[in-house]
Amino acid sequence: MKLSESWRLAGIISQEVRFQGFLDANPANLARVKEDPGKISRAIKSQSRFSAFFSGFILLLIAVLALAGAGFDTELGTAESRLAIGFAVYLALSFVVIFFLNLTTTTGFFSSGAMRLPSTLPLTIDEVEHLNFMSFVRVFIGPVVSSAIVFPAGCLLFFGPLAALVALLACICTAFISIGALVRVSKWFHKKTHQTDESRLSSIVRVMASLGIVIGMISVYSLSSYMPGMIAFITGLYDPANPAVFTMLAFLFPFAYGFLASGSVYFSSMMATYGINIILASVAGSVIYSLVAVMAYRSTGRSLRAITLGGISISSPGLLRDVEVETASPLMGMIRKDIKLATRNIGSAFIFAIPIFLIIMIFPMLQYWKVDGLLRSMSALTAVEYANLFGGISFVSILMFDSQGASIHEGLPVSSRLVLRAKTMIVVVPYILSMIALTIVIVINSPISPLIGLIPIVQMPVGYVVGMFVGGAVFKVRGGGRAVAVNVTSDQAMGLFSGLIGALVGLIPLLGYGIAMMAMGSQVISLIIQGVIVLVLVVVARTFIPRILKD
Amino acid sequence: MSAVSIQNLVKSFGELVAVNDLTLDVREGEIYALLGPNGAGKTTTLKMLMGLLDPDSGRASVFGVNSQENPVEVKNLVGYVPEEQQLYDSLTPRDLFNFIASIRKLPQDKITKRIQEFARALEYEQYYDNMIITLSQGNRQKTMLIAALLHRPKLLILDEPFSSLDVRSAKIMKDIVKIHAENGGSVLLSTHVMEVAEGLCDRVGIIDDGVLVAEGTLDELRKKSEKEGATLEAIFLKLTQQEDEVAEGVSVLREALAD
Repeated sequence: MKLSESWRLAGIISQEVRFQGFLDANPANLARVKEDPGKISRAIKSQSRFSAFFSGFILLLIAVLALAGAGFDTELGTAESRLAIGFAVYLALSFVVIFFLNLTTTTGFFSSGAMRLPSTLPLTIDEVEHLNFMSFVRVFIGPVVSSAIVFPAGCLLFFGPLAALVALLACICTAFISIGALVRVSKWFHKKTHQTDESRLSSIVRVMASLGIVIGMISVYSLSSYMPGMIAFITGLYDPANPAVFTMLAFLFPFAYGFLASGSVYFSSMMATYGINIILASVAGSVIYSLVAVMAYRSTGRSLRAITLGGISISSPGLLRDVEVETASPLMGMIRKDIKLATRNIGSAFIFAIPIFLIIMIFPMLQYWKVDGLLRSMSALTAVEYANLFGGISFVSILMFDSQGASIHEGLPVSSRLVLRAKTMIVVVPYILSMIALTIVIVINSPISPLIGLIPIVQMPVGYVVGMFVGGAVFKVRGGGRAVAVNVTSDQAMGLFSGLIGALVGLIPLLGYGIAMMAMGSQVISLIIQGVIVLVLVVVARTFIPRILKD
Repeated sequence: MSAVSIQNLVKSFGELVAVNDLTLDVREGEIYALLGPNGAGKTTTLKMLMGLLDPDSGRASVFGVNSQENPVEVKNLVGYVPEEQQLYDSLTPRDLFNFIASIRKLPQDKITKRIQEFARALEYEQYYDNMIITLSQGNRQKTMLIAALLHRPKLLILDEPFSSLDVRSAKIMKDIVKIHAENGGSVLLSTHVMEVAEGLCDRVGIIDDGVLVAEGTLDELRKKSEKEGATLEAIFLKLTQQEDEVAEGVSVLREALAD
């Protein structure tokens, strides 16, 4: 088969991989694809373009920041250590970007069965494997090429051809190691999320893996803000009296490449400042990691071959378990079902990562909002208001579970009130975790009074209020009062609407606190007012919201 | 009291009248088949009966419970297998039946025994801990049927229930439907499979363009269609006025296949 032909066919296969990755990212997509196939195709195309653009943009951004730090930030260590550390930090972050931004697509690669049709055509095993590899290349070519061009080009410009050559080698090796790790982790994750042994450990591993992956994905978006700090921290580790720390670093991935690049540019001063050991360590490390990259490349090939021959085995080993039924109350049954659905899907696990996402977002903001180094009530109120907004959005994301299982739901005596109560109970958990996290963040950020830390604690019951109000409003608007499934990715208006309702309802007690504070200047009275309003809202939500629902 | 009472039911989707002034009853202990070509209004009728769709006019009830006014109570009385198979793909049958038994507040011991019997009869034990997405079409259908029968419903409403089952499972399920009726339960099913309606059902209602064209036992339908000794298929084609269309279609196909 000609290269151009296999490249074209690989394009079709990689499109199917993206399609399956998109479906895998959220259960609701499965129902949506039947409603409007054209819409989902457009969404996948725009998502792929955005993803490629975003990967490229983030890599460019961290490359510029790393080069700026390595070349011009004279406050950071010596010129040699700046280049070595900046270089290594870039490689570490490009590893993270390639890994996390492509994880769902790679999972789709395993679940898509995209190679099933080509394997039935009159093609040799070699041709099918080649096609498979080309499909994989097409999925990853964007970020890998961006990484292999942008940073070496920058090195050429600022540090000369030798550093650029090392950068090129390091970027390619990092990309291979990253892809190797990606294939292994997504294979493992896919297997884990489709295996059904019900041990607690297995469930915990599944939930933790989901959370880790989602948090990793979110963290990618804020890498650039943490990068200068990372460079400063690592360069600060150098102690002339104890050079062993840097020698050890020079042997570790990805610092080995950084010190090799630095040695190629500043050989004589490097020798004078750090000695021969650091050069030898970096050379040895670079050789080892280049070999690891080659092995990762080969193991990727082997994994891909396994996919070609039938995907990943997800059968449960061991003896058959007893056929039995374990009952709970209807409310608990509904919650248990939703939690199981959530923990078997990366996209759905997002709701449990919301508190962490909130803190990643709020933490730098709080630093900016401080007045004379002290955190005031207004800042705490604003932070809590962000949590209300997130609470509203997370409720609607829980409604996505119900786009599965329509055939079961249709026959079950499930009232709209029961659905609303179950979803509200689930949304209360991330809301309370958000409030606990905000309390900690407020307390460690020098509040003007320790009582400010009580604002999120008093606000906790509002999780119930937000759930009931948002659910009631969504069911009224979209279902005419009946419980409905909502897909927040296709129905973004409902996502915004839910966020707005959550923000508005959650704002009422905070307004009470603010007005009381302005009128009386007492935090104790303000907290009491906030608490009273919270209790009134709970009663209102419990009494009146169910009345607007019907079955 | 009738198990199902449908009176002057009307449902339109825009210009299309899907169900047009439909009236029928299903008696207690009876197996009743709703037959009709694609788009005749069978599924729409069943969905209105389940309270999943609101009728434009008319009334549907199950054991006297109004489907529109009290759909939750109707679902307590009914075991329903819809035509589509939108299950929770990422759950296992174990998770699913735990969920259903919890929602229906079924006693754990009794329901475990019941499900063990179903699993053994339908050779389903080995799939009990596999994700539903990995099940074959037939095993998914079995999952739906077990889910519908779990609470010993007084009425079974089955929309094309045997379409994906293998011979063994179809035979078992037909027997289950019969036993259900022998024990006083009622069954309303829609099907395209004439043999099922012919061999299983006490009475048949033929629906076309949303209108009940004919209703009765097989003998009564033969008389109505003026086709003595005819199969249900022939009666069906005659009463829905599709005999000529079918003959013409076969003729065209014969030519196409001969080329």
